[in-house]
Amino acid sequence: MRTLFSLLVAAALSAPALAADATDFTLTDIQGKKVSLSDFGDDVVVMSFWATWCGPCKEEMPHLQKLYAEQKEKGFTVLSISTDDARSASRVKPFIMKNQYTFPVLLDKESKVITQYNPSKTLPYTVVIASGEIVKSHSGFNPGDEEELAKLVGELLAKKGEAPAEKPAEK
Amino acid sequence: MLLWLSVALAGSDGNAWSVTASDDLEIRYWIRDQRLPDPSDVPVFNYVEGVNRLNLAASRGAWKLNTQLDQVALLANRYFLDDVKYVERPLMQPGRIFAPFGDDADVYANVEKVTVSYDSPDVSVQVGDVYAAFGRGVALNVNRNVDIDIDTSIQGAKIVLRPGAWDLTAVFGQLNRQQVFQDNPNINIQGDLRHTVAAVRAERYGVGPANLGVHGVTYGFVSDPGLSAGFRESTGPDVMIGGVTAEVIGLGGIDWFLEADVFDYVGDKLTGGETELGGAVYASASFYPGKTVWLVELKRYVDTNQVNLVLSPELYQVAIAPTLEYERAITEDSAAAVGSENVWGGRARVDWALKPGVFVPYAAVGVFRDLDIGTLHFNDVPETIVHPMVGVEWLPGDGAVLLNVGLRNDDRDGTDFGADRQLHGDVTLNFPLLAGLTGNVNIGAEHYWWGVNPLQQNDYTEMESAWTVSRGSKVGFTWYTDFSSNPLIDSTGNISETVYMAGELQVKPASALTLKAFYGAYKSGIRCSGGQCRLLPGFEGARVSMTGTF
Repeated sequence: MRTLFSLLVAAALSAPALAADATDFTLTDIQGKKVSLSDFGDDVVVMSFWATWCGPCKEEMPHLQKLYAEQKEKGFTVLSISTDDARSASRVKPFIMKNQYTFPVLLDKESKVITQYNPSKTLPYTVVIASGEIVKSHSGFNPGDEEELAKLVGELLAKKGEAPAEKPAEK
Repeated sequence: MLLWLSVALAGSDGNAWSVTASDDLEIRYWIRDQRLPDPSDVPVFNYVEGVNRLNLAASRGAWKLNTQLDQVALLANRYFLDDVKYVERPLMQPGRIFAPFGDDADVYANVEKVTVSYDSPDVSVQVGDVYAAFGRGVALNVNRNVDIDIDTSIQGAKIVLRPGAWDLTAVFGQLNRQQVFQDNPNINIQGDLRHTVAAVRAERYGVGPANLGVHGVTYGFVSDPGLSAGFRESTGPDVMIGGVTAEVIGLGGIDWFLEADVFDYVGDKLTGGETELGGAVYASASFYPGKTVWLVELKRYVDTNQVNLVLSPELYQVAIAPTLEYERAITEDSAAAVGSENVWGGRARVDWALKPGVFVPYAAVGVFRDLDIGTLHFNDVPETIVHPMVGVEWLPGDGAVLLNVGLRNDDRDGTDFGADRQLHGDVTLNFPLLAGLTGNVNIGAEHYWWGVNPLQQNDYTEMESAWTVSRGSKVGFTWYTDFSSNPLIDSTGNISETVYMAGELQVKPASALTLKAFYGAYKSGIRCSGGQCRLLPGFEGARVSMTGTF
């Protein structure tokens, strides 16, 4: 058990060094349209998994909106993925509308995408993707996390600006 | 080895596998107040429980593989008294489950979920453990509820074809509920009741502003656990459900949703032959005039919840889909919330976006007429439930206030049985402290007044609170206090009979790794989330846990 524990800790601590491809997926958004991760080409993408019953998720979302508003013209997007199940799906769009969040909001009613990116399914859960690779994942939200996220996104966008731009795949 | 596996498989080569793994290890030391008459000073009933859950998600192009391995071990679970060996609590029920280390072992491991998927724009195929939900989940909603650690899947196959604007879905298999729990004690583990399910759905997108769907679902129920029992007992479907859905976005400035389902009980396993047909209708409308956002939901359910009851763990019915009520207002006798065979009503909520994303108060009211006088309802006559609530979400940037207050009144017809009432409130506060520290306070309290209720005749109060000081996500300490004056509660406080206290240290050395250490006690109670409920037993002892994603 002690050996297993040590290996798991070592693996988790070294996780940021690992680059994994971000698996593509398609979900329906709150407007009833199909949206795929690949629609965003080589944009820097922050995927945020949340639910209407999740308090820390509500606290994180204004910060994501601010980041989205500041950086969306530079090849950045927030992909907000609601994990509310079918029974509470009617609550998602009113929640977004009342807060006037403008980033895309997708519905993962059957746990299809969160299972792939965060098998333990804890919320909130954030995945930062650049050039199709997972750069960082983070569970939970505490004040101060938004500053680290903004800093990372800024660095990735700066790096992206230095590289030749790739055109997003046409739908 | 896991590190090696991750490095080996998760290269940036486009042909390489992309791997995400997570592990949740928890070790609990249970302090029991039971004692033997002699020796009375030796806590032989205390024991240690270790629970580990390892998830692995791998993908390569259109292919995906997901697995979940659950393990549990009990330590200090046996003792000798007068040369006789006693096993204090059997981990498994002998003969009721496949036990890889033997029926008598204190160790159990189970490959709980395995799924292989192929996804392309035109077709998705999943084989193994799959989740499925149609419409608003009235006829089919088999999913995982992380919040209360319920994970039931369909072990079989799911195929989705997408010709043009259509989604055509077929799913079939046997239900597979997880055996090992991370919150509840793992004792007397027994096999699944592997009910069978087969379902199809066709959904057409973009019919003007509408998405239209039609579906059929069948369930066959079994009474014995185990994989073979599912096949042996299966004699065809016991209930057949047919339904339609319509989602219309922006029609008249309103987002509409409508679902209607008919339940045909072709077998008598659920109803004893007394009921042949049931039905459900759910409708919602959301609209956004000015600075307000309105959500109105209506429902009518008759004889549908036998299905939910059988599919749910611990025999708590799934709140009649969808959940119209606030979770904290759900109790074991909350008829309209926990399930009813004959209920109608609705809920309206208005959010007033005074400063969108920053300051949004709301008011809501649910009104239900529950005509069910059987099962968990403890009612000899029908009742009318009125549940007003107010609250606010205030997120000024460097802090947060989330507040909810409600009064639930279940008024039984006539003057003989009175009313059950519940006043409840909860608040979450986040605020900056000195030296880069942050404070977080969560408090919830409920007071109950009971009418003529055969189960409960004592008015009582319950309260839960958590006080946290943290430095970013790196480190935090939480102090928990619980209080309950419910005389029927099956746990006892560690400070006094009614008061429970505990402390927990949380450290996050990396963004993907969380370590926790807990000592103290919390009270038992029913926890509800997403319309599902389960009993969470009280706990006294110590707990260390590690959750990592890598």
